[in-house]
Amino acid sequence: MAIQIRKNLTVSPNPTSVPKHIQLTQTLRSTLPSEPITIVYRLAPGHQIWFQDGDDPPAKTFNRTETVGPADQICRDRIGLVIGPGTGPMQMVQIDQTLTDSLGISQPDLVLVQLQSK
Amino acid sequence: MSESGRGLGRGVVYAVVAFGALALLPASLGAQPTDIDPCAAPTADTGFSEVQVNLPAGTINRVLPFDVPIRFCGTLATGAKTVTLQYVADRKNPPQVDDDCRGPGGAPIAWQPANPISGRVNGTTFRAVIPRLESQRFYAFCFRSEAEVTSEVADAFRPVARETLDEGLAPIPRGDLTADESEALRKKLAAALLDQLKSDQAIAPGTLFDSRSPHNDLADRFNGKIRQVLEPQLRRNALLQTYATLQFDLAQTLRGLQSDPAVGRLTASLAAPSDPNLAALSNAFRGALDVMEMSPDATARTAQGLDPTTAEGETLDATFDPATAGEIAGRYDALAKALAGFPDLIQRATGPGGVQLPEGDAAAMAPLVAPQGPAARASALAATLSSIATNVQASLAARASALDLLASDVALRAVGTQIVDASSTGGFETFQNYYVSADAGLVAAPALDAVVSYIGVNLYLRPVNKNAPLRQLGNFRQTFSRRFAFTLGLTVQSLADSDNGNGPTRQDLFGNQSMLIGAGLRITDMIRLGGGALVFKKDDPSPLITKFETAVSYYLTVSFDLNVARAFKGGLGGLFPGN
Repeated sequence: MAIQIRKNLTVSPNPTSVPKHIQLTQTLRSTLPSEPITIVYRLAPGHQIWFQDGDDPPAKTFNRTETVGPADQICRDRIGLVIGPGTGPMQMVQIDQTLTDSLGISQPDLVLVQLQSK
Repeated sequence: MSESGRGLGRGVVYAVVAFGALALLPASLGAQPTDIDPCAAPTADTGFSEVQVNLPAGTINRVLPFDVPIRFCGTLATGAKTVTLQYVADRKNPPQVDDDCRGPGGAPIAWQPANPISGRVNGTTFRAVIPRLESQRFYAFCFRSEAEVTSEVADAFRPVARETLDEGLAPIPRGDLTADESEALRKKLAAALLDQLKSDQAIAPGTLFDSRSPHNDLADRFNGKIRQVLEPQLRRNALLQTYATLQFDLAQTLRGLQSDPAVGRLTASLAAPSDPNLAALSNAFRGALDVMEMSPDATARTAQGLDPTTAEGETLDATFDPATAGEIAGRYDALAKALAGFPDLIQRATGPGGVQLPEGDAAAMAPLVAPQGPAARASALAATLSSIATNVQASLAARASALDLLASDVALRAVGTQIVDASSTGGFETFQNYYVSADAGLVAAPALDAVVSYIGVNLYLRPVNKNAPLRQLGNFRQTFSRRFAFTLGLTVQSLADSDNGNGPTRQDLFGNQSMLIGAGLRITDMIRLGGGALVFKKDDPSPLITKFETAVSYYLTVSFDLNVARAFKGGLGGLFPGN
């Protein structure tokens, strides 16, 4: 019925180089015994940093689904960061996240990924 | 997100020592050891023109040489870490410069060079090499020295730095930074900090906001520190955008519940029930009933996370106080729990032994308390808003803490400025050396078939520093005025010929010397070629006349600077000392 963010989204490693796989971590819980939620991650469209999920082509967004209960639950998502078309070189990028609960109520979170300059 | 004055970080900062204070320092602190003068003139040629600077007095110990590199030497106050200097020149008058190296009325001065010359500091002694200066100019030198600042000065500036950084970072809308944007941001923050500094303060070299340090050297450290501030700042911004939408959604949903006639009759029935069982039910669900009985204004305040019983309080999007955000989160949490009990209240109140409601009210309220119905949605919205308020609270605290750390990276140096006036003009005695030189060499008079030695003086049309190598001053054309001079000389040997039986045919102009009038050109730093008229006396060609008359013949010379001659102990060099 409602999702609560217990610990904000983090990324590791941070700082990181690109291309590299990163892990996004967040602690969530629900007011329901079990609630399916959707998670959408987004990068800004203009810059040169893209997600790459497995063998899929690079993309600016990727989605995940989770089922969350009333106890704190650590949710981890792995994704690749690659360089593609866009402005750069980037030294920091923002990953926006939108969590949507079973009633369609959304709330945001975000994390900044520092890209090593050398 | 201005939140100055809240929480101070720790950091390494430095203390102010200005040159001006040097004169006030006790002798034991400000003075050099009396037995050694670190700026004493070297006994050997160092390759530089050595000049001693007395910063407290604003003087130097000699006329400034020109056309040659100069090495300044002087003493600084104890604790000085760096010294830089710039200069400004004027052809006619000494430049007017105030104590802060500004012109009359605070007007800026076009100091040279644009990038100040850095001196080397060793203890309290500094040395600085400056490039060639122009002749016959008045100069003012601006010396800037940086020293550690006191902890009191550092403590006083830290909240100012924090507020400046706070205001500089608050407008940033996203955390996507290119390398150029990162560099621009650092420069902007450094400039903003600079604006806050007093005239005797500067950012310490090599620290995070020193605009003189290359950005590449500091980019990773800078980005890391900035990220710690920006991440909670941007998270808060994103949360507040959602807050605006969700609190409106919550208010609408609550109004929908409140305006339902069946709910109205139910809450009225439970307002003050005489039946003890209903009174207990009313007490158990007091929170939900209160929400349903709220006025529109109280509902709006509740949806905003405010206390509905007062007209005061900051909303989540207005507060920068984590505690206030925490209180709002608590109210939303209580609201979510109260609304979560609303379906249970309906079920019990409309069940056996419940309130007496018109037929159909129970059925009318059933959709309101369905799992996906408005009561569940209102509760979920309140729970989500509680999560948002909790994260805003955490973001405010995290940003404040990160700003403290960032502000502690602002390291200050105290800057002392001192003006030294100097001149490359000098008096007559000085500049005559620059216009007049002496040389000695051989003069050949082809028409007389004679070669004799001579000594002469060369008169330049501009000041010439003979210690400045010509090849370092440009090509032949660029140095022509430093090479060309008029020459006036006397032969050392006599030009008179011997009596061959018909009597002598020529005599010297004065006693045993004839005179040279001409001009010459230095072809190297030491060797000069010249030509002109040799003036002597010759016998009248008429055999009936035995009178000697003044005569002229052309000559060619090759000569050497008499400083060279002095090196060979020629003796005459002492008559024409160089500079």
